[in-house]
Amino acid sequence: MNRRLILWGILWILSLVCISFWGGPVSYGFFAAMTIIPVISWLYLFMVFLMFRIYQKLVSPVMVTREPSPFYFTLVNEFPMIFAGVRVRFFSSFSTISGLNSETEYELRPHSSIKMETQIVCHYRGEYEIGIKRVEIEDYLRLFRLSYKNPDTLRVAVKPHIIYFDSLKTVNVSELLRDSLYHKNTPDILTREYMAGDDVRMINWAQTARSGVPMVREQTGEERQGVSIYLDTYRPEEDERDYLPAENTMLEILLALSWFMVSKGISIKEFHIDRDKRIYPVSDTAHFDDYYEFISAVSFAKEYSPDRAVGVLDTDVSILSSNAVFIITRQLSDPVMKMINTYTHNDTEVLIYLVCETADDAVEALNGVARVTLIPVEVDAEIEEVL
Amino acid sequence: MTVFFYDLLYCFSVSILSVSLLWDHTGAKEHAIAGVIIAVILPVFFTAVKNAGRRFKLLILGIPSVIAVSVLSLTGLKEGIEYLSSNLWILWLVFICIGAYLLAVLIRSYILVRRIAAMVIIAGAILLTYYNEPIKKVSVAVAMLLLLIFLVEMIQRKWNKVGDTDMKRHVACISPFLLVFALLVLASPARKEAYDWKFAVELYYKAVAGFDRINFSLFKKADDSFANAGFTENGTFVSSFKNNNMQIFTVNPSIYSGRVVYLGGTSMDHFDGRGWSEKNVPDRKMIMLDTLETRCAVWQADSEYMTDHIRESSVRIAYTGYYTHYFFAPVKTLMNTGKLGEFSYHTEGTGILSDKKLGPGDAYTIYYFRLNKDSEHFRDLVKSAEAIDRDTWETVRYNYFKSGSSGLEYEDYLAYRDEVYKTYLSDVKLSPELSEKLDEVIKGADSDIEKMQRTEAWLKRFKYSSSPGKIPNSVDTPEEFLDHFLLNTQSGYCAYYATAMAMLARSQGLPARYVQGYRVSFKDAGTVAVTKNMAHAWCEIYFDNVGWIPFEATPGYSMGKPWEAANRNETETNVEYGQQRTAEVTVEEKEPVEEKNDIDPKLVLYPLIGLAVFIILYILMSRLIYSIRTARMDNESRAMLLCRRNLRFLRLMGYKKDDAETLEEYGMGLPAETDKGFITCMEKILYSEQKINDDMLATVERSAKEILKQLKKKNIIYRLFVW
Repeated sequence: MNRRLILWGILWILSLVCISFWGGPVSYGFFAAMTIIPVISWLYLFMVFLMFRIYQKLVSPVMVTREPSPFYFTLVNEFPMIFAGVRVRFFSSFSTISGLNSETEYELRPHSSIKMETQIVCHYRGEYEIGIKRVEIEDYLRLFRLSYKNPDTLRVAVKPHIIYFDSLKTVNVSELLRDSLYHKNTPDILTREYMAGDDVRMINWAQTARSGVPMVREQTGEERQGVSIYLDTYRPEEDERDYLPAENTMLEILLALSWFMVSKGISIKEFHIDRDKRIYPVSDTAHFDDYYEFISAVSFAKEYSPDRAVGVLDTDVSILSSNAVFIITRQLSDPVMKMINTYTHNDTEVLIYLVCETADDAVEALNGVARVTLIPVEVDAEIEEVL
Repeated sequence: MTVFFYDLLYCFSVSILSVSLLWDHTGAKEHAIAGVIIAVILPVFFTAVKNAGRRFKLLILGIPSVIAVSVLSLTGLKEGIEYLSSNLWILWLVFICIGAYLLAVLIRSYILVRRIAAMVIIAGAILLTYYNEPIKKVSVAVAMLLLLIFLVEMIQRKWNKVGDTDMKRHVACISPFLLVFALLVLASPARKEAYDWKFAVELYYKAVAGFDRINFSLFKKADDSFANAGFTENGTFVSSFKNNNMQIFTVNPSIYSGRVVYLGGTSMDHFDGRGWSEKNVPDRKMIMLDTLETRCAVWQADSEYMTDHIRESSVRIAYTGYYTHYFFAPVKTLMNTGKLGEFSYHTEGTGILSDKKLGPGDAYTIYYFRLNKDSEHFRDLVKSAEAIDRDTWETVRYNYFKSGSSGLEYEDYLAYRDEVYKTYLSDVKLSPELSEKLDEVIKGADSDIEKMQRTEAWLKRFKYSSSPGKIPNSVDTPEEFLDHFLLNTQSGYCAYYATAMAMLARSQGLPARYVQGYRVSFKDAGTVAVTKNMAHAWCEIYFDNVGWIPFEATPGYSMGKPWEAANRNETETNVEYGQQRTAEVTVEEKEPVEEKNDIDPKLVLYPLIGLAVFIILYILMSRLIYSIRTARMDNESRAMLLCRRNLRFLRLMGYKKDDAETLEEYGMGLPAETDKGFITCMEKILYSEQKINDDMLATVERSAKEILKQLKKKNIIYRLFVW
């Protein structure tokens, strides 16, 4: 408890003792003073509460995680009296204000303002409140503190961050794409003689060695194309402190993988469930920005159970014809396992990025399953290190 | 302005404090209003002079000087000095205010002085309270204000904050709250005596009563604590009763009940100097034996006119929110053996207890003889009462009880009498001083009854107090109690008086007992609700061959007036007490003298003229000084002065430049008709090394003229006082 308040309490009790034993203006005046002090203090706090204003401003209403954004706030005193002690508390669950100590107290003279310029960094993708969360005002004797919620909070939509990297640590891309037409050297692949203008990557070197002339692979309609990435949009929790970090990690993995593949010339198909099934193909980096906007707008919900993906997305021909399927999910639920089985039966390589705290059960469940690679990812893990 | 308010706060507070503390010594009592005005105006004046700029300082000092010179020149210096000599209080106040101002300057300038001042104020307050010295409320309020200002400054100094933390501004800006605090302290009541916490005590007992009600209504718990209530040695009477307004029962009187009835609950025989107890009371039908004895005495002495001495009466008692085993009955109760109404009872000493618990809904009618105790005839009867013979006894007993009256035989009566003396007559030896006093009181009384009546009247002249204070630990015997009560404190409540009466009766060889119950007063006809705070104690004294007679010795209480004897024709002298002849005094009424209220107009006019002349001269001088100053300046200084002046004038017109605004931005915000030419020049002066040429100066001067013209159009005051 506030030391000064305890002292005031002791003095007030002392004043009661004084008036119980002595009469006169001094003892009654002492008692009156001790009784009136908190009344006047609360009156002062009430006036400050009515007259104190906060104005917050973000340069851009749209932010990207991990990227600092300029943030301004102004504390305004519209009162002809001084504001002795004002403190502001920031939202800290999903964002960080740099360079400002939330313990700082401000004094504002009458009809004045204090403007603070700083940077704000959002940690997770989503829509949430940032900036000043609460205001604490203290009276001039520091006896009482009134804390109240900031009525005008800032709400922002934060986009996920794209992580750029050169190699995929957990997956050997060439190994993954050895069935890709560019790299197929098996004898039974259809080939023809090389003609000027053919892509040299299509040369089947085994056949060329046998025949003595350059032979290129013939493309058929059954060739596998690119990779597919499934994003599990199911949201089991209700508290944003639980789901925002995990969803942010999932989206960052998705975007990082997507960019990596596309930058390597590998086409991708992203698919997920929301109100309907969604499949978004991207074949080159020129269209990546649109893809990024699309992914930034992806929503998660309890209704988007992977049940709805089973029998719909796992039987989609374009997905089945992928060289590999990346699954980004938070739990290996039965529907997801069914999808995995469908893909593996189709001889499709499956890589699972499991975003969760502990993956022991998943590891056990997938033990012995062929063509499946499980990569556990902690919720707040560094994506660069994971990928 | 901030510094001005800050200084004024200190100066004003110290000044008011000093003046209020020394007020009685200045001789300004008869000139309170003028004194207050001086005490208020002088601090403001000193502070204004100290904080004003040169020009305003001249103005502030000049105006009162002109007034003073004008007044002196009119009245003459000699008369002025004479006036001051005969009104030294003015000088005293001025000196006090000057001293207070200097002290205030020291206090606000040095932390050490502030701390010393705080300690002096606190020590002074403690000493004044301890020695009960008079002090004015305004002194206390201002002293509290000063302490609060010191505290605010101390807190501000140690407070780590960002922003404008200037101390003086801080204190000046919260000063309205500090002043409200001081005013509230001034307005709060201040008694001379210590607070008695009556409301808290009443609240406590209301809570106790409420708890009792809940207790009784929910758990139907019988409250027989009455038996133990009464005299407590910490000096407060039955505190749980006296402030408890919980209703116990209702009483419905009959027509012969009179205005007051005393309902006894229990009586006690043994007093040890600090409290009563029931020690030796035999288990005998004492109530009925007493009633029969009195009836016999009256029948024996005056059988034809018995109603002149006793009247058969009744009251109906109905219990309300209360459970108990006790019956409450007046003295001289008539009860059938074993039954009171429908209720069976038994006696425990002098208490009548129901065999079953009585509570809400239970009611009984009790019959009793009302005594005409304070009538002359009754006194004569007691004086001349003879021994009751067997025949009388048996006749009366048979008349009332016919059958079932075992325990009420004549032999029982004789044994009862012996036991009364044995139980209720202890040896009480009065101290010589008290004995002397009592002898004075009962001097000339020719009977025991008259002695007791005189004693009763003597005790009634003492003071009633429900909290006479704790009985000293040294009081250990009835005699010591009597000395403490009757010779020292001479104030107490009913239990004290009942005890004193009983002890004094015993000292005269008369058996006496202490009775507690309820005193019910019937102001109007009808049912009376009896509450716990109607609990009362009185004394009963036993007179040979008559029985127990109650006495009311508590000041302010009476047992009701005696009723007129039926067959007596008493002539009463019409004596009106308190009537005195007063000598007729004729006072010559003087005709009121009309006071002439002529005010010499010169006393008002001349100072006003002097003031006006001063102001005109001041304005002219200021303009002249300004013109000379600006003429001597170089172009740059002059241009800057004019630019600053323009900004000042624009601010007066409502166009204030914000600190964060550049001059250009400010200029863009001004109305189109404003001549903004000076802004560019000002920017060049401030931000570039360019010299001011004549063209630029001319632009600035032109702007200054135009802005001044605009300002003068706005307000006539600017027309007069701005140039």
